[in-house]
Amino acid sequence: MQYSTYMTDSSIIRCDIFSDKFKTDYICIKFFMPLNKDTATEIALLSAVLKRGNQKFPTMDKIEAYLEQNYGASLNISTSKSGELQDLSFSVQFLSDKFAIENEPIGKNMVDLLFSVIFEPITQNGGFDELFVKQEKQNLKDKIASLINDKGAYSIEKCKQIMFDHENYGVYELGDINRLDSITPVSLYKFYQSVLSSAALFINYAGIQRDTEELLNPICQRLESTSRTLPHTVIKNDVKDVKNITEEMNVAQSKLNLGFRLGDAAQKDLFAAKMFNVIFGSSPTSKLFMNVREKLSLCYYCSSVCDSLKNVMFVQSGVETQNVDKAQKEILNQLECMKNGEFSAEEFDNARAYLIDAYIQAEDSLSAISTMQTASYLAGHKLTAQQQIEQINKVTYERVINVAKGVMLDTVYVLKGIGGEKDAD
Amino acid sequence: MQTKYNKITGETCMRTVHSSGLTIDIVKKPGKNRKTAMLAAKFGSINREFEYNGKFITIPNGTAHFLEHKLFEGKNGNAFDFYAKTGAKANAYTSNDRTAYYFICTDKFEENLSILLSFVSNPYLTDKNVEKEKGIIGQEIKMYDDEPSWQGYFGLINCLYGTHPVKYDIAGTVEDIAPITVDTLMSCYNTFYHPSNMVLAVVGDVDEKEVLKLCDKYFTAGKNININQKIPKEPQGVIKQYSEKIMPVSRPIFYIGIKDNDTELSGTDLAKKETEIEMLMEILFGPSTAFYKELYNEGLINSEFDCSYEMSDTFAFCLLAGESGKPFEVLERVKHEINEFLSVGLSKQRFIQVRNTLYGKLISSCDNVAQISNMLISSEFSNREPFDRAEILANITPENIMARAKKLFMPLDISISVIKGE
Repeated sequence: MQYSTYMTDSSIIRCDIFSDKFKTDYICIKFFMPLNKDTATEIALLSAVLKRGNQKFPTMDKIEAYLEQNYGASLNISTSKSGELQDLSFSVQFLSDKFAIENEPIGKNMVDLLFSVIFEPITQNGGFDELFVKQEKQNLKDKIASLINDKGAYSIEKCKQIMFDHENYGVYELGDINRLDSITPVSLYKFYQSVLSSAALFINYAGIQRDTEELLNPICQRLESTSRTLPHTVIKNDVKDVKNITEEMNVAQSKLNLGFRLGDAAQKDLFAAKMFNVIFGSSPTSKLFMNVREKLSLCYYCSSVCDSLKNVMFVQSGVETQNVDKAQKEILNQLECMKNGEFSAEEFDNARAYLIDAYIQAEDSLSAISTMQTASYLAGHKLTAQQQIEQINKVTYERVINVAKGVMLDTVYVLKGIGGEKDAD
Repeated sequence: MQTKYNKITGETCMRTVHSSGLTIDIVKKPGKNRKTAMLAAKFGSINREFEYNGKFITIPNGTAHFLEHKLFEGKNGNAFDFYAKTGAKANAYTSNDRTAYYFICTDKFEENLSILLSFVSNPYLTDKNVEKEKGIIGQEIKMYDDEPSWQGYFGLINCLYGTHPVKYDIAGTVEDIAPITVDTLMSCYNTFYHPSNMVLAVVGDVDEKEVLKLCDKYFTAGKNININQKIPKEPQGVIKQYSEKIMPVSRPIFYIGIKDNDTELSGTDLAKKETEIEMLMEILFGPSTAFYKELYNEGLINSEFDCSYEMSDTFAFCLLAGESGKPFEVLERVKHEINEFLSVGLSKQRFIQVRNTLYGKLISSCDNVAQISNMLISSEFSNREPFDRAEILANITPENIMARAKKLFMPLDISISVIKGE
């Protein structure tokens, strides 16, 4: 597998990953903007409106038919957040040209499609197509409201909103229903033009070796700009008072969510922080899994997840309402153990093996390896999977304890189940 | 070992039946980092009544899933403790028709395989650890109780099926699993975990000789057993046309099902049917159809809408799921679309387009070792050739699709399940 990552003269970060072991190829174009409440809704809305049609493929079914003609290629337009960055991402995954029955140039066709989707939207009176915008505003409204259908996702989002009430990280990446009314086809189009000209930009290709300069040239040429800068994430490493919020809902199981600030040591020592997270809560032999689930039999899941760009960690578990306090106590008790260095050499070695395996596994998926390359650029270290493995191998026991000592509980959010659901028939 | 090369996908499958009766499939993937092994028993939530020690017994719902939870536990720790040392990612799942245990790793493949075979072939069940598991599974069940999508899906299955045990929730209820004991679990283990009722699928850059050696170590030679079991046959027609449940959701979620009564097939015939119906679903309701575009533009569906075909060898149904403020209007439009199709027919161009899509997806799926191992298990359990879909797709005709449509839709056994907000 060959990697090359570089910045072009027009401040585009280009990454090529060549390998001959796949039957598909992958192209991903990602624009990064600061995450904030004034633009999150717009970015989410853009991802939906741009999917609806363009001058070459004026309706959704035309885009889909083109994907079908190209052997079931997939086009994905989406938004997500990492740290206090929000991306607008366009990706295509498609069969390598050599499998085409009639020698169709599938790769080139996909670049043509991306070009139309990104640069040739249908416009009307100086804005996007009015009907598309109207319908997608309604769809986005429904989508934001439907977060409540998934109690796990809903409760962790609530936890974040409470924990980061004065920080941009608390902004939900699909935006806010109340902002939708003020967005017009013209304002959205203007905003999109600013994204194209000034957002930080990554263009990744992964797949069979080919002349990507030539392949991607039509797109890169249109995106030449001199003013692209990567947004910054503000990290806060102190907690004054722990926030405790409980909300009741008519559900069978309570959801316990704990938000933590990882602290100075983790911020300075990313790879030790990764080791800490695996030993503490993110693997099936972690302290949380082995104790809260296996030993105390309190839950089906209890695990931790970190966002290293924001230097925070979240622990989630679904438990019986009467066991919420017991589970919380045990989670915090396990964190104390980490701080006291009460983890064995075996737990340490296991965590290392777990992480290394994850890096090597990523190299078998085009989208995973592409995502990893972008993440390493955002993290600032710009290391490849192999180089990150070397860093993991250098982490010591003491460095992990040091990280653990800095971890602070910030917010506890409990979605408290009261009773079960009702049958209507 | 029998070796079969599939020209269209470029994949080769090696197959053998071990002296113990275990079927072994190996697909080599030179140059790939990921290696996977999946060991599956043909024992799922639908296998509830069988002969054991000379008499027929009926086990509680959720038993297959319960046993799945327990088999990764051993006297000296659970399987995850062992996998933790090798870095492998291991897991297991139970569906209607199987229980599967697997790992994906990048290193120490043989050690990982050894762990898998050792745990699944040596149950360690005690009264205490069985009781402990009831707490964990109880919370898993409650998690699903709160999941509108799962509740909607099972609501539909209970509209479509009245006799076939697919109607029971895979994990059972908290009350169902309460009486499960070591004896219950062992009666299932001794019956369904016989090597001749199991398949081992291995995918990756591995040495097949080592795989066979490990199988020799963990499985002893012996006669195949004949499992005497009852899976009640489902009569034609639906039980209920409609069911609804009230849960905290923002807008209604719907599950529309079309029952497929043609369930007496196996082998190539079954594979052909599967391909025909999957094409049919795309042709009628896929994202490139006029149906999809119109309903989307009218706000009747959104991008969550999806259609699929759920199939095993004793039951099968088509599924159309999504969110809608007017689920019954969606249902009417689905019925209308089917009638239109039956009278208008299928154009050659549309047929080729959808066929190429399935062809592309089939080849793409070969990049994913986990998809291949699941496919191998499914093929073996229904006596099909691995990668048989490539040949089927190459030979399928528009006439096949139309004939299948008539069989599937006439008469039309259709139901809808809706989850509504409070």
